[in-house]
Amino acid sequence: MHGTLLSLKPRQYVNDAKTGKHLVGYDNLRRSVYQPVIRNKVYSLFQMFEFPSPSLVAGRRATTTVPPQMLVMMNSDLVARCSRGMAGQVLGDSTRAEPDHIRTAYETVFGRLPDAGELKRSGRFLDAFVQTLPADLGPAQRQREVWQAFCQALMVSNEFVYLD
Amino acid sequence: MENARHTRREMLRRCNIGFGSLALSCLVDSMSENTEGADRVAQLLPRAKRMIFLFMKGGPSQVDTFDPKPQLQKDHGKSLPIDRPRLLFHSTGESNNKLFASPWSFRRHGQSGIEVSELFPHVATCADDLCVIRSLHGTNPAHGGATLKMHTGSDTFIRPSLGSWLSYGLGTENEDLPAFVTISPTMFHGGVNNYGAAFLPAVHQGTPLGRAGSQVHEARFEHIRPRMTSARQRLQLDFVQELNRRHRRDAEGDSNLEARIASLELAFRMQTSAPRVQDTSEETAATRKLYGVDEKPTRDFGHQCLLARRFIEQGVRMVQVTHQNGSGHWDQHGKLVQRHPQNALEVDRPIAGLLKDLKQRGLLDDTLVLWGGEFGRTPTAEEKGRPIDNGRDHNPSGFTMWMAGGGVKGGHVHGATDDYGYFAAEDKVHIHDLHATILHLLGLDHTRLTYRFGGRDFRLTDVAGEVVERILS
Repeated sequence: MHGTLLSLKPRQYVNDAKTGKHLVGYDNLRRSVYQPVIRNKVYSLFQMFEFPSPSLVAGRRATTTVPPQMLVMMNSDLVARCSRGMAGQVLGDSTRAEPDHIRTAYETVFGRLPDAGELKRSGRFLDAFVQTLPADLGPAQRQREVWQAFCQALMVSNEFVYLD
Repeated sequence: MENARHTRREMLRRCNIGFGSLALSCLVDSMSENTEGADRVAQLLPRAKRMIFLFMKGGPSQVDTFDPKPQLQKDHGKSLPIDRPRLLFHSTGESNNKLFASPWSFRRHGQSGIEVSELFPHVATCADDLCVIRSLHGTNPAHGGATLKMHTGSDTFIRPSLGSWLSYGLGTENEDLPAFVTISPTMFHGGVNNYGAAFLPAVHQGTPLGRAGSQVHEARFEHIRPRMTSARQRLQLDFVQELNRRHRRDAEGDSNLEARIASLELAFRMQTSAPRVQDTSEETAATRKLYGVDEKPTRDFGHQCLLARRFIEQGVRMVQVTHQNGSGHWDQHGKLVQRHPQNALEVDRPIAGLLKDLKQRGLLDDTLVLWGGEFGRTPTAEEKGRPIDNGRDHNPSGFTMWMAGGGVKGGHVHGATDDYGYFAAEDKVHIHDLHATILHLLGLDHTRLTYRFGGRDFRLTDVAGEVVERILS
């Protein structure tokens, strides 16, 4: 996997020069290159994506594609947090119409705009997904759920994750 | 740029490749013929449908476990009277060749009378199911190369793992689980390359379960609980897969993209299948006791072995179980007397439990179990200050592995080492021969299970390997 969840705007770079504090855990929104590497307790997320053993020299990262990695993308707290955050951003300007939100999401994740077909398909997904939500959910909550699912879908897709 | 289907990267790449991409698409076409492994492989009559590899990382000592050497016991402290291999791992000069008798005694067990040392009292009760190969040999005296060789047939290059070849050759019996699962694999000595698919289509790589730093006895697939209803998630994944198919059209033939699409579907199905398989709480008290999952020394390996049985029961083709504890694994350059018994204690009961459990469920007949490390150890002592210190060096020149179940003779000993247990001497079995035999048992002809890559056909056994006919039942 070569994409990076945390480089989604707004970028979360390490900027702790002010406090001079060392990071001791992994629970922070830093890009992976700025995460600490604790040799005997490598971040479980790194391990999922075959981070090289920090005790050895590695000439090259291994490329792997196994279902547990997909499960991270589908069900982990981290991805849920990122997709929720992104949905909030995408919906930021509530005066805009749905196609504008879709364009923003595409630009954020893929660095390009959707074509007409993609725009239509995205709209269809949003409509279908909202139908499945429980009826007792308020409109704001519905909107958040739908857009979180949409943003997560883009993040799970090959175009985002995979660099050739 | 409303219509921009192509990203900047893609545009650049396309311009760069130019006519090359035409050639590429031809290659891709010919590659795709390779994807239906099972159809292209000459099938033999399989004796085993699946395999469990109990990997003893670090290299257990054969002369202390399954290869008793009376001459070694007699000549304790004398110099080894034969030449040592030219290449030694810990080469400490001429003095480092004092024979070191086994501190443990051997007894004959079962009807077959197979000799097993007192380190393995429980495995000894399964003696009549074991096919002990005492004449294994390889070449590489370092962990990295030897481990890679044992898993992939090559000690230098990145090649598909045995389990990947099995997955490629035989496919899967359960669409809802990976075909090749490796439980608590090591990050060291090749790490992921030991269960990687290399140039085989990426779907054949081993799926790891349990990671370094987490408790082995709690090893399980994580993030397995969906955050939304199945119907809603299906809707979302259908949308993702549509994006993926659209994306794939522009990057055709990349097996990693194909694998990711397949992998997403498998992950979706695993959310239903895996929690059930990995939940060992439904096992009876008797079974849990058999594997020793509720007691301290055996709880890690017991859990791994129990999971192995639960996975193969569900049709997983190959399960590897790696024994590695915090204290140097089976790699006793020193403290042999302390640590070999500790290692044996941790695995002995779970292994015997696994064999008995497979047998009582009627699974042992078509499940091949393989036990062993990446090499054995020297019958000579490593000298560290004292004349005979308490350790043995790496020894790829002669070592023991055993098989049980699927198509091998039970209660059988094959091959022998020399009088001291240093070199494989009679009916030698090279690692390539071992691989050829394993494939044969699973119904695959090792000379015909090939994959074309980089202009030639590759095999697990490269250009070597003979099936060891005499151990077949």
